[in-house]
Amino acid sequence: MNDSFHHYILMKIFSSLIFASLVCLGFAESRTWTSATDSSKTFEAEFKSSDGKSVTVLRSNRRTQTFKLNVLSEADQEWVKAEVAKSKEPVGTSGMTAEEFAETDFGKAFKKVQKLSGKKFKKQSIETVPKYFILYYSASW
Amino acid sequence: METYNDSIANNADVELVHLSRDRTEDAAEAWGAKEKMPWPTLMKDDTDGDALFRPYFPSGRMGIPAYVMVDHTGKEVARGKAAIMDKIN
Repeated sequence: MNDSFHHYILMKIFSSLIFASLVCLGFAESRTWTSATDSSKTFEAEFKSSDGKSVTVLRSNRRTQTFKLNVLSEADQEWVKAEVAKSKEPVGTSGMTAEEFAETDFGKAFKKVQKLSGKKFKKQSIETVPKYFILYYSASW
Repeated sequence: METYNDSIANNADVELVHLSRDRTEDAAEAWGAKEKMPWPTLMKDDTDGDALFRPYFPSGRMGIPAYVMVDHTGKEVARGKAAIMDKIN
């Protein structure tokens, strides 16, 4: 009897942990969205996509919903625009975008990189982030 | 330059960055123009020593030219031209 009860309790704990993990995975990207006309009106949903004029989200009932971007608060509209811009950035073989790389401690060191344009150097940031960099230390002397 | 063109220029996994040790930007620029350097360059004054020099040359000494291959976090993976070419090819 004790063994069965013990087993039952363990199974309950195990299935609860599994459920909690699935919930966390499913709602990893969920955020609060606010109405453009009434800041007290909000809802929770996961951003899926935007074409610049409308936005599609995944609600907590697992249904997608599409609506015009301008029904959202300005802050939400800016957030969506930033997400769309981020998704268009090329990802190098490192798996990082140039923007992500530029925010890392190592990436910051490359902020003032230049490239030859004709006979003059011009500022040009790292555009795609490779797996590896070869640091070539040299001089004209 | 031949090695660069053969193994690095079109290799999406690798980017060569020149860390100029020339004392002036004019000297670095003149050399770059003369050699038609196609790679990105960081001038000596623009180089963050803590990120791009001291981790790889802790003694502060370095003979030039020197080559160090690192991953996108700055972790060293190879040193010297031969070892780096072995890694790439």
